[in-house]
Amino acid sequence: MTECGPWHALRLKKGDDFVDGLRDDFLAPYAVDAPLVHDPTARVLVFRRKS
Amino acid sequence: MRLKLLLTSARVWQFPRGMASMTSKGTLAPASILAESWSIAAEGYDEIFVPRFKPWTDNALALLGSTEFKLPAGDVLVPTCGPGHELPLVAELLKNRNVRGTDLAPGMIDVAQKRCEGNPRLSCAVEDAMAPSGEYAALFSVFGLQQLPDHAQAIQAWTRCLKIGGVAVVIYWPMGTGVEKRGPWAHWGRLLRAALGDGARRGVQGWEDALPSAIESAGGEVLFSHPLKYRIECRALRRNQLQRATRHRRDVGTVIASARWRGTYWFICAQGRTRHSCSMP
Repeated sequence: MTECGPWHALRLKKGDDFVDGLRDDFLAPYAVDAPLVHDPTARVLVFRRKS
Repeated sequence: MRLKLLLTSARVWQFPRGMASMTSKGTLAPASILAESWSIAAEGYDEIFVPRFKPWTDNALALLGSTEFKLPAGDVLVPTCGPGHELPLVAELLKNRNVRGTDLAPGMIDVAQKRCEGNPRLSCAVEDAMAPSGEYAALFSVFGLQQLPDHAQAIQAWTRCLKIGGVAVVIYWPMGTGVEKRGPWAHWGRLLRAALGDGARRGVQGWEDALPSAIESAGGEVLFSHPLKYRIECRALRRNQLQRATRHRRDVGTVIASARWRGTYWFICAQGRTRHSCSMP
């Protein structure tokens, strides 16, 4: 997310040291090499031009 | 109002007019940073996130191809097209229509351009999705809207660029716990809020609620709006491994997703119960 995704912009804005400084806290709840599974919910919006 | 040159070690990117002065209302980073960031991240996003988000893309394609929509004659716009992976898919789905992709990031358009080569129905250009040019029979956007600086204004512009009877299929990430209450993204969000406070916010509070009225005020009507959940499974957390590991499980339906993992392509069928793998050359 911070290397090739939407949070890469945070690296440009706050610097690599700031983002990398959060890495240990981010990884803390997860077992090393265990699959990281989650179920994010997006929203679908379909609309039509009527006038 | 539009001219900004961004120098990098590799190239010079010229931004379209208007972008330099675009405000960053409610967003973590201004447009110039977003454009630079996505240009740098373009190839990695194409490799890692495009397959990870494929179930949502497939769902959007199924909606766009639904026979219940009688589209007027005309082309299809894919704003925030990123590396252009959706362009040939849309063209294959809606035959005899031209498909135009746009993105704020020149680096993304560089990647997208390669996908357009050899197909005269495909084109792409650096363009601000807040102000699309042209008139279209359909609009298709997956995971671009939430990044724009003013979501209501963007959805109005997208409505107005449709021809009468034209249809838009838009998938976006909602803010806050709308995406997930637990999980790594929610965890990351909590860490950022602890570190940055209000600066971690990515959007004006409640912007999603304003979308239907914004569409109606621009002459559109909402046909439907609903949540769409899929599973993402990363095989590892280490950086170099993470970049090779994605898998999907579809909650409903029959779309097949694929992901690459250590030289093996995995094809995961509906409900994630059937898996086939084969070594790639």
